[in-house]
Amino acid sequence: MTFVHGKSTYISLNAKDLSPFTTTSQIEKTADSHDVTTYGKNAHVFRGGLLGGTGSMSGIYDTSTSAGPRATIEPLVGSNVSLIRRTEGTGTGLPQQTVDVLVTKYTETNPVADMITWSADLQLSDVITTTTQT
Amino acid sequence: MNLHAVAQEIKERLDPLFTERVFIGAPDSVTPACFVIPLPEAVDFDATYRRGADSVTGWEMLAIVSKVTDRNLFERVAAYCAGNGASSVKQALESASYDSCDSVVVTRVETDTVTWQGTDFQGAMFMIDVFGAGSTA
Repeated sequence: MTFVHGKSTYISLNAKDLSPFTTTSQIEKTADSHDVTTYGKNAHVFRGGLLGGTGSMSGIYDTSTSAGPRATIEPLVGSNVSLIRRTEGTGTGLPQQTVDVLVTKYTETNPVADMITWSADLQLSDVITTTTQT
Repeated sequence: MNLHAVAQEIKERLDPLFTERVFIGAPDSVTPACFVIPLPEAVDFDATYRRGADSVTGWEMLAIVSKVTDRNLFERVAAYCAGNGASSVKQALESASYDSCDSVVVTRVETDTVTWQGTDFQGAMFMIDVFGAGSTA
């Protein structure tokens, strides 16, 4: 068992590597919950339903007009694209998550005393495919 | 991001303000007004994933303006500490882009006396934040 630092995380959206501009990201996997409680039970009983989830990513704004967060993500708002996330970094045998996402939000924040930051909210669409990198 | 490359570009931008008396590292002797760029206390690595960016926060650089007995001391210090103007350190460092890094911001200046080799000078310590690429030297 080994703990892993987050600095090597790889994340791409629509085949564009956004790792150099990203400081944090997450994928939240959820499932519908259906109450199937019947007579005679003393507590609720649930069964799982459709899977779902959300993702988010954020980082430091870059001026690149071809590869930066604004150039890559802003035009995708309202579109479905592929998200690839390598939690433990890039390397043979390491896990990789691939999922279709709907980009629901892109935000830029300009503080007076700090670097400009960006963030994006993602809606998972269909299942997450988890593979092992080769 | 290479600290010496950043210091070199800072020197190039400040040389006109200090008549070429900008020193990377401690000078052997001081003739005011001059500017000293020492090593920073620390570099913070991994500001973004996969070595995308590193940063230096509060890099202290010292302007040695004049002897404390200088009658025009206040005016000279004020010119270097001004937010803008021909002698403004902040304006000189923030008005141009850099090859060695992405961002140089002068966040604060503190004034105090500096004793150098037994002589008291009026100094102004500038605090500078630098942000740049992490994966290249």
